[in-house]
Amino acid sequence: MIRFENVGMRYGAGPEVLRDISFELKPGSFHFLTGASGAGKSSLLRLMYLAHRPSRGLITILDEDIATIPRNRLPELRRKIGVVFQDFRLMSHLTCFENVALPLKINGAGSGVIKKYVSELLNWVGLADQANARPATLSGGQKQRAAIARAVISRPKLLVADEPTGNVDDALAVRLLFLFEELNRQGTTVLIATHNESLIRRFRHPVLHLEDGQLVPSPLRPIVPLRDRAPPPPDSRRFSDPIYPDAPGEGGRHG
Amino acid sequence: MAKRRGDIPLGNDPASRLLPWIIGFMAFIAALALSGALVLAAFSDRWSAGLTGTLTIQIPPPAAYDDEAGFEALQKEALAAVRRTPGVASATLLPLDEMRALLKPWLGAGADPRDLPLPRLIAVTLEAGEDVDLADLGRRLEALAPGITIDDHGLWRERLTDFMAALQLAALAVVAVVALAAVVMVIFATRGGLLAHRESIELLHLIGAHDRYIAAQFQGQTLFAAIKGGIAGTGMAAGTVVLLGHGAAATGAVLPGALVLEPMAWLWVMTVPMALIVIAVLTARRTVVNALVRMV
Repeated sequence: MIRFENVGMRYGAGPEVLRDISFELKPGSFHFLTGASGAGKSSLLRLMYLAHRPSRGLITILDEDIATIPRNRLPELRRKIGVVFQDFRLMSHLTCFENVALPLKINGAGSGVIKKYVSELLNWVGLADQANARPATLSGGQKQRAAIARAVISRPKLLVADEPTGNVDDALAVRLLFLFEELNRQGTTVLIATHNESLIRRFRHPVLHLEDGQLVPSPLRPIVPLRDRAPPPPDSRRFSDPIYPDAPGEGGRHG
Repeated sequence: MAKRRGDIPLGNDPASRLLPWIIGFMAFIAALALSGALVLAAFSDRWSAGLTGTLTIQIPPPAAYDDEAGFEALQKEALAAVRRTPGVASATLLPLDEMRALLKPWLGAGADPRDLPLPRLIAVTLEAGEDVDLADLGRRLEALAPGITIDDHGLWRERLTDFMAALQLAALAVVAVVALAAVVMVIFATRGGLLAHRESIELLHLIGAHDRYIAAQFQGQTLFAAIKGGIAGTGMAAGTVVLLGHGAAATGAVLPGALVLEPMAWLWVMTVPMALIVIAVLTARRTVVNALVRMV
C-alpha cells in the first residue's frame, strides 16, 4: 500500500513544491498522475521512488514507513519499485542490453537468467535488434522503450513512470500502456504521470491531478467504456519472474 | 591502457585517468627510498662486520727515542703477549717503512718521516665468535710499558652505525610520507570520481544498489589503477637501482658493492606495490562509503 498523509516537500531551503498531499493507492491499483508543467508531478514521483525525503508529513511505501526505515533497508525497498524517468537516465557507456539488465545484475541474477529475460523483454518492446546499441545511437522512442524495459525487468511491486509515452507514437504508447496494465494485472501498483489525455480517456483508470503543488479533483473523466477497449496485443503475454522464476504467488511474484 | 567496463564509467573521468600515473610515481619514489634504506643497512652491516673482528694496538715511542734496541724489544714482547692471548687469530707488527710511506703524502716532500717519533702498530685479527678479554690484555700490555693502548674501533663503529641509522630513518620517512601522500591522492581522485559520476551513482541507488555494490565499482577501478601504477613505478625504481649498481661497479666504485641489493632486500622492495595497492583500495572504499552515506 502507498499512503501519503499531509505531505509537504521542498528542495533545500526553497519554497514548498508540494503541499498537504494526502492520498492512498491500494495494492494492485492503476492511477494516472496529471497536472500542468511545474505542478509538482515529478516531485511527487521523486518521493515515491525514494529519491527525496518529504519536508513534512508521513509517507508509507509498500507498507514501509519512509521516515523510520533504516538506510540499509532502502535498497531492498527500491528493488520493488520500477521507475521510468522522464529523461530516461540510461547509462551512456552501456549497451541497450546492459542497461536493461542492470536491475537484475544488481539483484545478483546469473548471466543465463539475465540473457533470457532481457532478450525476451527487448523483443517485446521492439528493441531486439538494438540490443548492442549504445543509447547515443537510439532514437527518443527507442530510449523510452529501453528505459521502460529496465523499469519492469525485475517485476516491481510499484511502477512509477514519468511521461513514459512522451517520445513514442500513439500506437506504441497504447502498446506500452498494455504492458503496464499486464504488470498491473499481475499485482503491480502503477502510477503514470502523463500529459496524454487521449491515453487517460482510453485507459479508464483513476486520475490524481496536481495543481500548484496540491492535489485537486481531476477535470478529466475516462470516456471510453471498458468494453470498447482494444484487447492486449498477442505478445503481451505474462512475463515469468526473472529473479525467482519458480516463486509461488500471483504471476510468480515474490513478496 | 585497456579499459574495463563497470556500471559506472569510472575510467573516463580525469581523476581516474590520472590515478595510475599518480600511484606509479608514488611507487617509484617509495621503492627507490626503500632500496636506499636497504642498501645503507647492508652497507652498514658489512662495514661494521669488517671492523668487528680486528683490533689495533698502539705502542708509543719511548721518551728517549734513541733507545732503538729497547723499543724493538718492547715491540717483540708486546707482540708475543698479544699472540698468547686466547681468541687472537693473528697479530702482525705494521712495518715501519709502510707507516712512513703512508705519512709521506701528508708531511710533504721536504719532511723526512724518519725524524718523527712514530708509535708502532700491531694489527690483530680475532678468531670468529671468540671473545677476547681486552681488560686482561690491557693490563698485561700496561705492565710491559705504560701508555700502550688497544683500539677496538668501537667509537668508529658507533659513529658509523648512528650515521647509517639516521640515513635509513630519513629513507623510511620518505616511504611513510609517500604512503600518506598516496592516501591523500586516492581520496582526491575518488572524490573526483564521485562528483563526476553523481548521476550514475544516484541511478544505481534508485534501482536498488547497495552502497557496497557502488563502492565495489570504485574499489575495482582503484585496484586496476594501483596494480598498473604500482608495478610500473616499482619496476622503474628497480631498474634505476640496478643501473646505479652497475654504474658504481663500472666506475671503480668509491664504495664497492655498496649499491647492490641482496635477494632478500629485493623481496622487501616488492612489497611496495603490494602495500600501495592495499592502501589505495582501502582508501577508495572508505572514501566512497563515507560519501554514499550522505547521499539519498
